[in-house]
Amino acid sequence: MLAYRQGDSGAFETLYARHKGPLYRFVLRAVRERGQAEELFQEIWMRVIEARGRYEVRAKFTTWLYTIAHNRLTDHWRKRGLRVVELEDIDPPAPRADEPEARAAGRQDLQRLAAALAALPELQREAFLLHAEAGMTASQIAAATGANEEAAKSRLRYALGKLKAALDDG
Amino acid sequence: MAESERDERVTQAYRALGDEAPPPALDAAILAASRRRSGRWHVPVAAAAALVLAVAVAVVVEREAPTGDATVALAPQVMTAPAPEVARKSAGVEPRLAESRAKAEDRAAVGQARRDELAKREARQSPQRLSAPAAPAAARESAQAGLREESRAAAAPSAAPAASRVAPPSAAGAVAETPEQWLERIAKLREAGRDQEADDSLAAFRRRYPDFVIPEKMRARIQRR
Repeated sequence: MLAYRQGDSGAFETLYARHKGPLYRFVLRAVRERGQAEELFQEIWMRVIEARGRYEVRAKFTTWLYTIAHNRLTDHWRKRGLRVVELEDIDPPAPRADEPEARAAGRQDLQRLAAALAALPELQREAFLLHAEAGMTASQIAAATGANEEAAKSRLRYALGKLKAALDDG
Repeated sequence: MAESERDERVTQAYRALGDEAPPPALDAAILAASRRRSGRWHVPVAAAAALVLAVAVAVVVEREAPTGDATVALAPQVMTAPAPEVARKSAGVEPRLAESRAKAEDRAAVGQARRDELAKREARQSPQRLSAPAAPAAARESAQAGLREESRAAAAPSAAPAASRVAPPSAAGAVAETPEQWLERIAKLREAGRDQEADDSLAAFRRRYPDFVIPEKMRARIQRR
């Protein structure tokens, strides 16, 4: 990011290539609607570009990036009044009649997991997605979201517990 | 089951949900915006250089002018006193305008790429519903709306100090306001029930400090109840 701030556009391309997939999925699974996810994803990167002059090496770039993403998502949820929207993108297809039993069971597991993920409270879902997509620990999640470490740890633990319970339900 | 095993099982299952990535058109537009902005530092410098040159030429012309006429004799005072003030103001305003225009162009370009992608996706899903001439027209209209929205957004930070009427800071204080002070001001607006001003100021804050982590206690105070 420092290299990009100095005018090296190639440095941005490297950062973008490294982070675009995880960030996109983080946003997509947080808002669960592709059009909105693309809009938010775009806005997050535009804010990264616009904030490049103020970037300082105080934390990992990942933490900085997901702090921007968290702030944008917080605004999004605030505007929408935390409404739950359709699960159009992460709902795996239903099992087909001719599908082998093990594979169909696997699909059902994924369906339950997707539903449980969608049903998590926003902050728990965010903590889980930061962990699963950005590889963050509880203390890094706390740094990116402004929560204290105990709260971040607790959100992650609850999220993992509920998702595990959903997988076990099969 | 140990916590790490539970974590591993859930994470593995989560990975199987899919490996979605942004559409290539969106990638290309974001990267293009980043390239355009990486070389943009020279615009404010060029604007400032042009201003310095203009002021210098004006001063030289003024000094070489005949001094017999009373009107002209007054000119050096007029030129020397306000010129630095004008130069300071212009040097601040011009780069900001250029920056705002640049942001508007970038956002419009990236927004257009996303809309094109959505239009393509929709066309694939229901080709009969989307007539060819209507799509570009709608896209153009959206792009213009995007530009208008960005223009409002670019103007918003200057509106933020106006929202400080709850606790009017001094002119110097307004310039030196820290993020914490700005948030405190938003909290006071919220407490005073001035929700729209608080919302506008918070939006301006987010644009100015997109990476600032607002502590949860403060967040509870500044959010609309």
